[in-house]
Parts: sequence; C-alpha cells; structure tokens
Amino acid sequence: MRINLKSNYLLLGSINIDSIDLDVAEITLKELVRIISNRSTTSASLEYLNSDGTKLQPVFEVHVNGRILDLCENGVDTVLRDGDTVDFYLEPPYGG
Amino acid sequence: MFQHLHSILIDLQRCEGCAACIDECPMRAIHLPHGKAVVIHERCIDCGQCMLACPRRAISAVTDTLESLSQHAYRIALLAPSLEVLLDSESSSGRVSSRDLGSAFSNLGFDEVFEVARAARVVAFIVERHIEERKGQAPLLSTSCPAALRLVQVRFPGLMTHTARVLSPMEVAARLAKEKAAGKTGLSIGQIGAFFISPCPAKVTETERPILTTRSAVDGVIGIDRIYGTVVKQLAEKGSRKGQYELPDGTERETGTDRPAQTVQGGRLRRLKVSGIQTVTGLLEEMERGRPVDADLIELHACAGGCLGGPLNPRNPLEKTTDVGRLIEKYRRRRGCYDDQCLLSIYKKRSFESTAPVGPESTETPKQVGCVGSP
Repeated sequence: MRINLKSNYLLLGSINIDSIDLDVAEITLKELVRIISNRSTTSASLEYLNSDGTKLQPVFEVHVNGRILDLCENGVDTVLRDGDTVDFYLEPPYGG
Repeated sequence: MFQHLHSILIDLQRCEGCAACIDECPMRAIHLPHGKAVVIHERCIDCGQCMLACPRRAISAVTDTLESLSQHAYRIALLAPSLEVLLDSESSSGRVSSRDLGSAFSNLGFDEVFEVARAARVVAFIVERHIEERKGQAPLLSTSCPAALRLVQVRFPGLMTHTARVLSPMEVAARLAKEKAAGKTGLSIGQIGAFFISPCPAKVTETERPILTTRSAVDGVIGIDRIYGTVVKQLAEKGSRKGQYELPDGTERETGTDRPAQTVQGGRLRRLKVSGIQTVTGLLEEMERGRPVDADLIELHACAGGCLGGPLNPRNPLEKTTDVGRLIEKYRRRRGCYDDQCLLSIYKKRSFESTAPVGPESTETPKQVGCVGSP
C-alpha cells in the first residue's frame, strides 16, 4: 500500500519523501513513524513518540486525511490504509 | 503608521484576475468585481494565504519600514521566535550568538533586541494559572496567532468566550522590553519604540486594531522579509562565533521534557495544537456545533506548521535542516529568563491580562478608512 506524506521538514533526515510504499494492507500511525524514523539517512533518528509510546511528542502536529491526530479516536493507534494522507508538522517550542 | 483597514495590499496593475487567491482564501474575502481582485474588508483576517497563492506576486503585506525608528529615542527589535530559527539555520554552527544578533540589529538602527520567546513563556505560565483557576470557558483558545483570533471574532463570535484572557506574546514582549529599557536608560515609556520583526501580516493589523487590549504597546511591525537579507549578510561578514548563547544576567537553564507542563495541583495540562487555516476552521465549526474537545488549551495557528510557515518568512527554515532532532533539543533546552518565582510575581501583577471585552459583543464593524486594494 502507499501512504501519501507531507511535512515541513526533511522526513528522512537529509531528504524528503512525499509517499511511502509498504508491503502490508494496513498499518498504525505508531508503526509508520517508527518506520520513518528507522529509515533516517542521518545518524540520529527522530523520536516521534513520548517515553511510553502512547502519544506524539508535543513538538509534532500530525493530520491524518486532514484530521488532527489528537482528535482521532485511536490517536497513534489510528489505522492507515492505502491512499491515506499523513501530514507532519514540526513546531519548535515557542516557535511564533 | 500608515492608516489602513488591513495589511494585505493588492497591486491592481499586476493582478490578472486569475482567482488563485480566491480559491485559497478561507473567508471568501476576495472578489473580482471588475476582473481584478479586491479585498472584502469585513471578512479579511490577514492570514496571508492569498499572498502565497498569487502567481503574479500581486499581493503583499503593508508593514512598517526602518524609517519608523527615527520617531523614538530608544528602539527595541522584538524578535519573532521563527526569525531566530531562520537565522540559526543560516549559521554554520547552527546557532547565532546573541552578541552577533545584537550587533546586526544595531546596524539597522536598533538599540537592543528582545526575544519574544521569553514573553511566550510568561504567557504560557499565565494561561496555565487561568486553567487551574478555571478562568474563561474551557477549552481555552490561545491568543498568539492574530489571524486565528480574528477568524474566531469574525466567523465564530460565539466562541470568543473561549479565548484566553491574556495578551499575545508580542504584546507582552513589548511591555516587558519597554519597562526594562526605561529602567536602564531613564527614558519614559513613551520615548521607547518597540518594533516586532514579523513572519506574518496579521501582526500589523493586531497592533492597529487590537482585540484583547484597547491600545497596543507595539509601535511598528516590520516584515522579516524586509530586513532578512541585510541581517544575514551582516552576520556572514562578521562570522557567527561558535560557543555559548549569551544570556542576560539572572537567567536559568530550562530543561524541557516531552511531557506537557504540570499544573500546581499535579494534573496534566492537555494541549491541542492545530495549524493550517482550513484545519483550524474545521475544528471551530465542530466546536460551534457543540462537539466537545478533550483539551484544556487549544493552540491555534493560521499557518500550517505554525509561524515557521508565515507568509513573510523568506523560506521555511526546516527545509534544509538535516538534524532536526538536535534542533528540537536545542530549543527545548533554551535558557529562560524567568524562574517560577519571577513568573508568579508577574502573574500576580495582572499586567498582561486582556483589558478589552472578549465575547460576542467584541465583534467589530469595519471602520470607514481608506481601503487598500480597492480600484
């Protein structure tokens, strides 16, 4: 399946991608960010999840198919399917 | 300051009537009465999406120029946090020293710089106290983005009661900076000018037609795009030094965590970040329909990704940042200027709480002034 991606930073560390192809029929958002993090081309991968893996770190804002992740019933366990769009935004603290 | 109803200006000679701006406008605030785009002033919230959409660059923001500085004996540059991120991304060390920053802005005519991020910390503290004390209608809406706030005021006036009763970080920064400068120089507050270096046009309108106060303490708004090239050139010529970020006396290191701030009672502050004008509008529509939102505070930003995506930023500072993790850690651990005792003292003075009525009655009617962009 293919997930469409959009971000305001380089998703893979030194390069950006606008989609990702996976050999599964569905995947959770939590699993997706782990895959993206593991595919980082820089030595330091990005930690998307908080310490217990239940939420995204506060600096990230994610929309799934235009909907804010925090308002999705299952949060990071939201299931993604072929053709879904995930937008990643990074906002440094106090970034006004 | 030039008197105008909005900060968005359409150059009718460049406009070809392609309507790209109309497609992007979240407020349907542009029409083509004679084949040229014209702003409908009662609806415009100065979000600047039209500026980004226009292929002919016919839409710009009216901001102040450096000539405005001459009206004041002492001039302070209020630096938007996104400007600091931009400038840091230009530096080979990833960090511009405050000494070099001060020097670069001194060459532009400023006597000192003040980081608005410091004021944002004050605002965050006040909002946390308000939530603890159950002031305002939950969930509270943040006040840092004037375009989002104007959207609520114009299109969702019934939700104005959710607005946090605190001035924006820009307004708080101006007050803090002027007070400090007055003490240092012996000048009166009226002789000191505070100028916000802004990533967005809505800040101009915020100072001219403030929502949360009767009079803005900001004396001018200068677009980042207006001064960025000059500042970068000066920093490059000087050569940014590696090493510690210089701090005013009395600062302490803030070590952030990935957990939201805790309230005094030990509960967790539930923050919801929402950015992008379409997403913000969608959420407000749901709230208006009565959908409960499980949050104590909703931080609204008209630009996707927050102010880093502001229309007056020359570029996205993250587009070439290869070590984003280090950037996050750096700004999370940035040194603060105020410890908790100091913040509590500021809070008790109640100097930064909104003084204008905040509710459906604050919905404004357009003033009869010269309108920019009209044929």
